[in-house]
Amino acid sequence: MDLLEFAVNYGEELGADFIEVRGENIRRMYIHFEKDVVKNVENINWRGIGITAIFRGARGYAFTTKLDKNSVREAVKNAVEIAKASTKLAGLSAEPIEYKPNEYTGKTPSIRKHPKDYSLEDKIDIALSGVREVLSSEVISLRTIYGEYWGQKFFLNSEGLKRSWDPIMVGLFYAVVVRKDGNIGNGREQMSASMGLELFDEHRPEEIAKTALRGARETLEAKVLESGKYPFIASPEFSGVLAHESFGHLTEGDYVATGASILAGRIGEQLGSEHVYIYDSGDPVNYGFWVPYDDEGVDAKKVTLLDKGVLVGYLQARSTAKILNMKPTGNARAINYRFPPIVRMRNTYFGPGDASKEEIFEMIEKGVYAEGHAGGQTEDTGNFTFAANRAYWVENGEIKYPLKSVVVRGHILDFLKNIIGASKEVIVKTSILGGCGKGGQAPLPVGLGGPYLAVREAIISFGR
Amino acid sequence: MDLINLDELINIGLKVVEKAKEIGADELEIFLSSSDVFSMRAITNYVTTRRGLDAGVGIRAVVGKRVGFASASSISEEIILETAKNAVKIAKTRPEDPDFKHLPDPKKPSAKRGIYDEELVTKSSDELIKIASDSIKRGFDKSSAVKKIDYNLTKQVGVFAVVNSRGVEIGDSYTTIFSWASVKAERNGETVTAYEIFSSRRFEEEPLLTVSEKAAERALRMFGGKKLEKAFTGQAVIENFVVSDFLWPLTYNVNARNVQEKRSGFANKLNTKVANEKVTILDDGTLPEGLMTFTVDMEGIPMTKKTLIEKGVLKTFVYDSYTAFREGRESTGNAMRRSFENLPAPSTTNIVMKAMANKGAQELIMEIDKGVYIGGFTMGSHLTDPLKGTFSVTSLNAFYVENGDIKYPLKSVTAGGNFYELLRNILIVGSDYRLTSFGKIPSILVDKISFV
Repeated sequence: MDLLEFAVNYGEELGADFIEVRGENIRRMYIHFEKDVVKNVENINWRGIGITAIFRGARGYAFTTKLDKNSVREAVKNAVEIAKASTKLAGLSAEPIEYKPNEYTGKTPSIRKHPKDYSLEDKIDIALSGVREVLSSEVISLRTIYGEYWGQKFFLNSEGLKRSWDPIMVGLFYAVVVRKDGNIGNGREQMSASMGLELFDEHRPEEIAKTALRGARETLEAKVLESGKYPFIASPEFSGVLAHESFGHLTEGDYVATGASILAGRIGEQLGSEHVYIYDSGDPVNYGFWVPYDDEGVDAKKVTLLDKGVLVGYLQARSTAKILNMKPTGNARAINYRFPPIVRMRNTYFGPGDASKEEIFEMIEKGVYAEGHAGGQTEDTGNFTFAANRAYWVENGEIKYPLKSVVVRGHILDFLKNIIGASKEVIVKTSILGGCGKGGQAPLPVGLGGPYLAVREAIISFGR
Repeated sequence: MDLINLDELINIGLKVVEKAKEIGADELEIFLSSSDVFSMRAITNYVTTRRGLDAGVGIRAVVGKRVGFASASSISEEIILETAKNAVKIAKTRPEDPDFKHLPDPKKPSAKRGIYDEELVTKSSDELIKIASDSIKRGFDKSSAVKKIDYNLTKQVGVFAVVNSRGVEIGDSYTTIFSWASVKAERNGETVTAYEIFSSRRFEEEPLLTVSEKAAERALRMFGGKKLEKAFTGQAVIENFVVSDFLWPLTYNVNARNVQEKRSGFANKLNTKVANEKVTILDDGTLPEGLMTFTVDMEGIPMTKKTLIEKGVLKTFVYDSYTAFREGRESTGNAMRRSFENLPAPSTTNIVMKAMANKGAQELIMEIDKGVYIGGFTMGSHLTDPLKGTFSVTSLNAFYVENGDIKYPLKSVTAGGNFYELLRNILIVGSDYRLTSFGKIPSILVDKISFV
C-alpha cells in the first residue's frame, strides 16, 4: 500500500487529472499429467503494479514488475506521458464517472480447504484418483491438469478509494483419447470453482474423469446427420457460452459507447422471447468465479441485461458509464498488472425458467442436445459458431444416441427469439484453464452458465 | 525505459546456477527474459495505450530423474534464488521420469546475433501514437462508407537468456512490430467488415500507415454480398494470411511430444505420403525476416532449417531436448516457450511453403472452375480438432468464383473439410508470400472443400 500511495501522489505531482494504482501478488500453479505420470508443475507468481493516468480525458497505462520506488516512479512517468501524447487521438473521453463507494454485498466464499495449506502431493493425489479410475488399455492418451489461482489484490486511486481482496479458484481437467478398431475418440471434462479443495469432495475427480471417458467412447459410435435446422436443447454450459460470447460482449460499454455493438441505443427493445433473462454478476452463483470488486474498485453487483427478453442494461467501466450517462456496474477488469482494466464480464448466465429438466427435454419432440461447449467464436454482427463438447439425438424427451462434432451457428438475436423454455435449475461454472480473451488479455477467469434451454430451431452442422 | 542487456541477463543467471549444488539440484536451468512492450488499441476514438517492462524467470531443477519447474515475474537475484529453491522442492515431490535424460549441452550457433532493429528501438510512444493516428485517418479517408476502425499497434523490444549448469550460457535480443485493423463500412443499410494485418521485425513506416486503408479496401469490396444459393463441394483459393486458419493442425501434428504421446495424426507416418506430391513445407528457424527467428531456441540450442514435408512425404518432426533425448537424437532447435512462465516444449518456428507456381491469389482464382476465394476474416478455425482434423471455418470475406471469374461477394460462407485431406488436395502453392506468426506463406489453391 505504501508504494501505491507513493504512485498516486507522484502521478498527481506530474499533473494527471486522475490516477489509479493496482498492486497484486497472485499465485497460479498447474500440475500437468500424462496418464499417471506428473509431467510438469508450473508455478507462476504475478507480482507487479499497474498505473492508469488520465490527462484531459486521455488515458495512459504503464506497469512494472520491479517493486522499488525508482521503477514505480518510472512507470508513473510513462503512464502520464502516454496519456498526454494521446489527447489528440482520444476523441472519446476516458474520464471516470463519479462513483460513491459501496461495499460488496454478495457472499464472500468461505474456504474450508485453502490450497495454500495443502502440499503438492495432496494435489497430485486428488488428480490421480480420477486418472486411476479411467486408465485402461483402450485409453491411448490421458491428459490431466490440476490448477489453482489465489493471492491478494490491492487498489488505490486519487479519490482515496481503497480496496483489497483475496481471489481464489481451483480446478481439474481431464482429456481422454481412446482407440477401438483403429478409430480414435476424444473426450474432455473440467470442473472449477472459486472454492478450496473441498470442491473435489463435492465433485469427485473420479466422476469428472469418467465423464471425459464417456465422451471419448461416444465419439467412436457417434452419428453424423445432414447439416441444417434442428430443434435444439442447450445444457447450462452451452447456454453459458452463448450468454457470454455471443450476447454479453455486445453489451460491453466500450463497444456500446463506440457504436461498434449492434445493441447500442436499443435499451427497452424486445430482443428475445419472454423466457429469456440474462445476468452478469460478481457473485459466483454456484461454481462461477468470485469478483467482489472490479479493477477500478467498483463493487461488482448483479446486472440484469435481458429481462423477459427486453434489453435493460449494459456492462460498464467508469469511463464508459460517463460517456453513456449510465451507472458504473463493476465490470472494468484486467487479467493482471500488465494490462489496464477494460470492460469485461464476470459471471454471465441465462436466468432460470419454471420448467424441470425433464420438461425441457419433452418440449423437443426430435432434435439435438448439446452438452458442454468446446470453444467457439463470435463477431460483432451477432453471428456465432460454437462447438458442443458432447451432443446427442433426442426423441420424445429421451437421449437416443451420440452425434459427431456438433457445431451450432447462427445469429444471437434469432437464437434468443427461438428460446421456448428454460429449466429451474441453473449451473454457472468457471474454468481454471479457459476464460475470456478480450483485448489480448487471456485467459481472464469468468463464469458462464444458465439453465437447460429449449430452442425451437438452430442451425447445426456435423463433423465428418 | 532501460532494457537490461543480454550479458547482464546471462550474468544474473550464472550467479544462481553456480549455487545449483548448494540448493540441492543436480542440474539447473534458468530462462530469463525481459521485454519493453508498447501497445495501443483504438476502437475508432476510444483509445487504450500501455507500456511496461516485463521481466521474469522460468527455472528447471533436476534432482536425479525428477524435474521441477517454477517461475516468477522478477529478475532480482534474490527472487530468482528463491524460485530455484521452489523448483528443487517441486522436483523432489515428483515421481521419477524415466524419459528424462539431462538438460541440453552447449552448442555454438552459426549466427552471432538475431534480428534487432535499432531504428525500431528508438521509436518513442509519441511517434508510434502519431503513426497510429495517421493510419486510422487514412482508413476513414478511403470512403465515407467507412464507419468504424478498430486498430492495434504493438511494439516489442526484448531479450532472453538461457543459462544451465551444463555450460549453456546464451541468448538473443529481438525487435518486433505488429499492427492490425478491422474496418466496418455501411452503405444503404448494408454492413460489411474486413481486416488487414502487418508484422515485421524491423521498422517499416509505409506498411504501418496503410494497414487501415487496406482493411477498408477489403471491406468495400464486400458490398452487394449474397448468400450461397446452394451448398456444394468445389475448389478454394485461400489467401496467404488466412492459410494458417486451415493448416495450423500441422504444427500440432509434427510436434514430437504429440507424436510420442500418440496424440498426433502423423505418428507412424514418417516417410510416407501425407500430402500432394508437389507440396514441400519447411520449418525454418533461420528465416532472415521470420517473426519466430532467433539465433537459439528457448533452451539455448541453435535454431535450424528443416524440411517437414518433402514432395508430399513426411520427413521429420520438431524436437526440443526432452523429446529428442527420449529418442536418442539431437534437438532440432525447436524448444519454444509461450513466456517465462512456461516450460519449453517443441513447436514449429517459421513455416515456409515452397511455391509451385509464380502466382498470386488473383492468378490462382483464374484456375477455379467452381469454388470460393477465401480472402480474410475467418471464424471457427480454432474449433478444429487438430488430431481428427475436421474443420468448419466461416469466412466473411469470401467470393463466389466460376470459370476463373469472381462472380459476387458472399455474405458468409462456411468451408468444411479435413486437414489431412486438405494436404492431399492442395493443387497449387502460389508465390505471393506473406509474413505472419505462422511463417512465410503464399496463397494456395485447394480442392474438395464443401461450402455452405
